[in-house]
Amino acid sequence: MTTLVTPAVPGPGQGEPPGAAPSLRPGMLPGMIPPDAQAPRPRRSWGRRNAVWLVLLPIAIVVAAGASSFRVWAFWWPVGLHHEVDRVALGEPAHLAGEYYDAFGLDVPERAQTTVLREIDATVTSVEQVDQLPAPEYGDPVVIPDGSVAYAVQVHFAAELRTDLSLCQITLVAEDGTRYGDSTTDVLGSSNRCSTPEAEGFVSEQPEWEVTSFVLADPGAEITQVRLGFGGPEHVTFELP
Amino acid sequence: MRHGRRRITWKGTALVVGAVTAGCALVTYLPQDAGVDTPFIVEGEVGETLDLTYAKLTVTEVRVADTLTGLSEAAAAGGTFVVVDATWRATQGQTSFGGAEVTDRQGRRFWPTNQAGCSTSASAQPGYAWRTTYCFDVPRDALAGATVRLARGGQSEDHAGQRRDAVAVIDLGITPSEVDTLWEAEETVSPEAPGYAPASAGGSEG
Amino acid sequence: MKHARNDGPDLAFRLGRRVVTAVADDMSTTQRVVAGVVAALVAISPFGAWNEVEPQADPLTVGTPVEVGPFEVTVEKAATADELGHLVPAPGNHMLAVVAHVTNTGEVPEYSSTIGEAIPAPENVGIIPEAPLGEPGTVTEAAPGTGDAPDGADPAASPSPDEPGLPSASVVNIEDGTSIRILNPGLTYRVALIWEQSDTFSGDVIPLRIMALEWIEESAGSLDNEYWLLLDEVAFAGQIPVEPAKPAPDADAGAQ
Repeated sequence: MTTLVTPAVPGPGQGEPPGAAPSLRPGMLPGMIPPDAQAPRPRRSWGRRNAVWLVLLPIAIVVAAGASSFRVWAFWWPVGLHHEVDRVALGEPAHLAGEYYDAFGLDVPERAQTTVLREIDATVTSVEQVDQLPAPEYGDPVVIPDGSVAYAVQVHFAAELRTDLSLCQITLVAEDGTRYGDSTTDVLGSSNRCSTPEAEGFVSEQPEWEVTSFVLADPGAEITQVRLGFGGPEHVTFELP
Repeated sequence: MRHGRRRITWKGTALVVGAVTAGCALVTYLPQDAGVDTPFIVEGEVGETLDLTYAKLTVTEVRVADTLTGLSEAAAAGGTFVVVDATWRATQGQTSFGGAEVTDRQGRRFWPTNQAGCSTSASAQPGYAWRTTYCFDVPRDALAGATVRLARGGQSEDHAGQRRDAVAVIDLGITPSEVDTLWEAEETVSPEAPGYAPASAGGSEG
Repeated sequence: MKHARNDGPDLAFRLGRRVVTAVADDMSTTQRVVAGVVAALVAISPFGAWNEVEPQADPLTVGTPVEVGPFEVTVEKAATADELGHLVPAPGNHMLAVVAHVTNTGEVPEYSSTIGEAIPAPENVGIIPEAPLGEPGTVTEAAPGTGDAPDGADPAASPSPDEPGLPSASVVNIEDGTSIRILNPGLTYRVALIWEQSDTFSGDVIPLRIMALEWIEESAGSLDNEYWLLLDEVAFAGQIPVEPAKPAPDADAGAQ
């Protein structure tokens, strides 16, 4: 920061009695030191004079970038499947482990306001195109719309009892990166895609279980992966042959 | 370190004031926002399928109505309702389409109503086409040459949600000579609930 | 104390003169003039020199259009009714509706809440306060309205002298009876602003105020830009005659 006016610093030989009207030259305020009173010094080059700041500048840029980088983990990282913790082939078990914060403890009250480690073993056993969708638990039957094809994704799960299964996403990823069915609600209106249809609540009730989830896709899409996650950031990927 | 032991001069003051003024002028008058704010506008007409990178969009039909009837209520237009049927087909992942606005020749903007089963937004995933009906209450002098602007970003706060993003602007195809007929027609439209579009995003009506 | 009394002003004067002398002694004439003007401007600031002249509320009459922010508002009438569509009053109350023609004269849509907030509930006419405070059961037959509006302030309807938190009106499009949310530009809607009113009110006029709205292009205090700010300033005020309750309120709404 450059200041135009510095506080009055009585220099050597400038100690006049305060209060007395000094005879200053026009344009000068009391306490100012005439420019020609400075001791003549050899001028150093601009680079030498500002060397400290020139060194500090890149450091400041790095610090500033680091300070604002909290947005990446605060806003982007937790929202979406950004951390692949396991990648296996179709038919092989994948281990999905990730922590989440349980704010309310809706299904398991003692977990309220704690960070919970969720560990699930999942195996995608088959991904097949189907001609018809089964009748949904609630509501009218869903007909596969014109211009769409439907896939049935079968997943086998194994986890401790009362593992939270809410926000489950079973996504088919096409070769071009299109994500089919990445909503937490599937085509039949189920909003708990990793639970069996008869399950009550959002936690697992058996040590092992199997679900079939239906996903609409474009007819020409070449499905290459299945992604499984619970809102993220951790997820597992199953590669289709 | 050298301290600023300098005298205040008219020249120095003018320099500082001038520099600040010049800076303000640059910030005010240079179109600096254009580079960060302008959306990528994809223009089209009714029946055409537009590629917005995140979705394919087709406006399939445009109608006018004096009255909209829904399941629980009927809505009467202050002017006339422009009813826009659109089909969204998401192409990347689950997407919410929050922007729907009609603009007239004078630059006035009109927002949709959520009355009588009309939608003000939509949400869809890849793999299917999703049909949505928007209803805009507009005055007579807004009809000719009006366009509809649809996007995933919302239009509130001066299209803040649409910055640097693809936006479709579709000419509703209303010519000045048609205005009288459209205005006087006493149509009643029952907007269909949003749902799977009968055909693919090709724009053909089923 | 004698010394202090005599010395006080003298000392201040001497000190002041010293300061002025010290500052002004070596100034050029131009600098002195500029400094003098600046000192004068600073000196008059505490006395409200920069305050805007307080505007007076303009009269509000039935049938005369007034400009309220982005709207042109013409109050048509006020009327009472037993119930209006889905708005059903509690026992001992009725609905009070102010019928107005509202036109959005701007270029962009406006929310109906903007006009709802700009026309606050009339005071001292027994409007039922916000839900937690408004106990319909507290309304008694004591002090029935006397006929003119200010006296219609019945102590029964509002236990405390200043009525707490009057609700903002429900804005209903009269033509179809639906709650209207968006007012698009260039359109005129005949709307009813509806409040619940105690039956103890029996006046034939209500005092209606319309508050001023100010366009905020860029807010200095918040990050919000480009909106209509409701000012705590009455732009229009007047007495609006109330039509008595009719047997069929819906017919009343659709009659005109």
